[in-house]
Amino acid sequence: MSLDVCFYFQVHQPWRLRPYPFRDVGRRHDYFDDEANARILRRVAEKCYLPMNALLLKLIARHRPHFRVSFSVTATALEQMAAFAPEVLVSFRRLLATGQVELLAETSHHSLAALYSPREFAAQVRHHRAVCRRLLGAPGRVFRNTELIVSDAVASQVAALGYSGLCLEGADRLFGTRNVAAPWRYAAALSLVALPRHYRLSDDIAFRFSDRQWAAWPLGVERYADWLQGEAAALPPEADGRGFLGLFMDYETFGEHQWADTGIFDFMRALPGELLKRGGFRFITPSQALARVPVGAATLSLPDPVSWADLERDTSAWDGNAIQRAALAEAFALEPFVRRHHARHAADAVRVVEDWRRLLTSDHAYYMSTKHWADGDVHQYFSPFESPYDACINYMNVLADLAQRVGAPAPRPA
Amino acid sequence: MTSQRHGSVRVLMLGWEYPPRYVGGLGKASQGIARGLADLGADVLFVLPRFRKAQGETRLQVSGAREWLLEHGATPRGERVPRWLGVTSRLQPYARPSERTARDVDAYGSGDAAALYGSDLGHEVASFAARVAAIADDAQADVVHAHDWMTFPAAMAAADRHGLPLFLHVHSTEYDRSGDGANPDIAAIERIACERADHVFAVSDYTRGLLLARYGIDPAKVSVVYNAPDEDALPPAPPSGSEIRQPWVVFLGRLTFQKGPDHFLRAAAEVARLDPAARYLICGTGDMLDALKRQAGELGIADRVEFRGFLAPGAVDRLLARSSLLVMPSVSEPFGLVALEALCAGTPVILSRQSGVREVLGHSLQVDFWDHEKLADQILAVLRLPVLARQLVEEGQAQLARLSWDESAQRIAEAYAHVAGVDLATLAGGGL
Repeated sequence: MSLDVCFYFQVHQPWRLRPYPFRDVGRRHDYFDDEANARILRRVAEKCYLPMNALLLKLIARHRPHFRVSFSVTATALEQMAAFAPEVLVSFRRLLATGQVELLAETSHHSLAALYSPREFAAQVRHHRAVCRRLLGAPGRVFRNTELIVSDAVASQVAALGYSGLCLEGADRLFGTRNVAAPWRYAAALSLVALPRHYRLSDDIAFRFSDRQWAAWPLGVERYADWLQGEAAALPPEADGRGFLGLFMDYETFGEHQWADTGIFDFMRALPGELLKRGGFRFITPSQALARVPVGAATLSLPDPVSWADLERDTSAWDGNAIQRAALAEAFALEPFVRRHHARHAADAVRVVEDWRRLLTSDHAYYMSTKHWADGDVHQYFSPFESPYDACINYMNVLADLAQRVGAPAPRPA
Repeated sequence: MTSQRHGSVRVLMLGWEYPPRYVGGLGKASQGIARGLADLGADVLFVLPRFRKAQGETRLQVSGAREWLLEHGATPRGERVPRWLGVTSRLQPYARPSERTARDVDAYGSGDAAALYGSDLGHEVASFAARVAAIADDAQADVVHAHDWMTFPAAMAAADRHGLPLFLHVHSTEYDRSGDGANPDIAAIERIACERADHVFAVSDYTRGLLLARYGIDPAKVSVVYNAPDEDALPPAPPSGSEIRQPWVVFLGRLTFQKGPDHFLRAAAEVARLDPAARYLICGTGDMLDALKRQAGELGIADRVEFRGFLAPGAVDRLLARSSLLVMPSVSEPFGLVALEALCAGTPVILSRQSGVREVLGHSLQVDFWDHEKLADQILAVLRLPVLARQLVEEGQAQLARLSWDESAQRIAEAYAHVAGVDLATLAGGGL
């Protein structure tokens, strides 16, 4: 019994909006809070990106050639690194230069385009490749969609763009009793391999690690390695003695969501050695995982989108209420106007396209979520706004200005 | 402490106003609480200084102090009136006599809008205290429960005389009403009474904070009991399509410093520059009326502001149902029942962050009363984004549905039991 451990870390930063009052519409086109974006990026760089990159570099050297990890980095994050903390790009390049690190493909702007506009989705995937190549290196053959949102329709689009693998939330409602510790294929696109996230073992690190109410606190590498061995021992017969363990999480887990004083860095420093010492574990990249999936592997069908967000594991964090749906609809409704504006080679064409795409970043819709709003939960933790309604007002003000710039009628959602 | 005299707990409740005679939210809230407790099985004797005719509901009797004494052949003995109540200064419970509100039409009819009990409030408060002490001799109450400072001296007199547990209900403090220009006599009554009380109910965490900060009251004995929507009100109106609503932005309340009508006008001036269709309706009267009219002129929006004066309750509901938005820009608002009325009429609200009601209406737009720019932006957004207005009303109404006077009465009953060992459930024989 052995287990292929696949670490994939998500790196993303949105371009946060500045407070943009309606009276600025038609007068000012600077939408983004440069000061806050720079401050947050530098803080996260200091607390997470730089120390964790340095740690991974050491671990790769120490365990060469056995330790591997993978990243997906959004273009919005890369551009902010280039602008506010270029040393972070340097440290990522150093990691990639080891050959032990793989990049995943995704949309440039961490958008929901796969759900709203296949054309824009394809454009953003191309754009992401270009930005990655320019600043970091080329992504591989495996794709991760924003917030792991996957449906049959998304899988078809990803396959059509030539990718061979697509990461997926190992949600209970999708897998049920099926084996989440194995790669699958998508019924909607048989050429595409589904790499499921093992949400329990991933969230033990990403969410529960510092939770003092948790029975397993404090979590040490021995106990965690025991759990992984238990997972390997519990593989079903059809797994043929080999499992795939998708440990997918936000990179900001390390040092930002879980602060250094929780021991998260020490945990990660010790984990690869502990697993390699026990035997029966290999670290692999997503592309390596593709190789061992038989063509006739069992298939998954996803009529409705699955994501890695909230308990619902659906898209309701972004489109669960009326103001979110209206905002998304209005934003994507500008697409033909933005394209026409661009085609006219207007002086501000490049700027306009980039501004529009930054508004498509899913975080803006997330800030408008009213799920559990009265209880004040995780959505608010990440939001720069006092309430989802204030987030909505600010966003719609900006959208009204952008509509004017591209000659679209003012958004007036009914 | 527990009484065995009666089959159920007897509450001697003291108030200053009660429907149909009321000036502000106090009368309605007092009624909701009294009815809620009666529903839980308490016998409530609700006494006001004067009340035209006694009202009886099951377990709830409402009476004027003088009328009660006449009926029971007792006479007031005034010897226990606290010395510091000898003030005959022109104290006002909420507002100066000129400040007629949307609601005083029922209370006065004639249009004489002096406070409910004339201009010599100090005397009224003192004589109420004397009469209540006499009533308490016969009322065989288990607890005394009093609403706002005008009744606190009476409540203390009654509680002291019979060793009864004293519960005070603070719907508003002198600092809400007057800011730093607080009347020291009234502030003293509030402070001394709250110090003396066995337990204090505050209508919001906001008000509880004021009691702790301004009067240094022991946090352990102040709990929050929220107000609830009027049970007599019609079921919540569905949020209407904007097409049948006018672009009216409504201010509804006394035109006083506390309610912030001047902030409303400043925000209106900002909105007016960007949305020429909007009109601003100011409903209510008060000592700021003339100043506000001048201000509207100075801001260049006199032609878009309508001063509607006071409105009868039915007219209020009709107006709200045709309007796009209610703004409550209070400088200090212990609760803010008007927000609940607007939501019931299907009208979205913008709430001052210096208010209590925002604690129970998370699904609302909220703003600091002084932040005219942000308030203007919120007004503009509600006017131009029907989807936002609709969601605010739907979610707000859902939150409203979780508030009820029965629930609030339950909180009060728990405090009676916990603080004074007076258990409604036991004595009422399963009233719960």
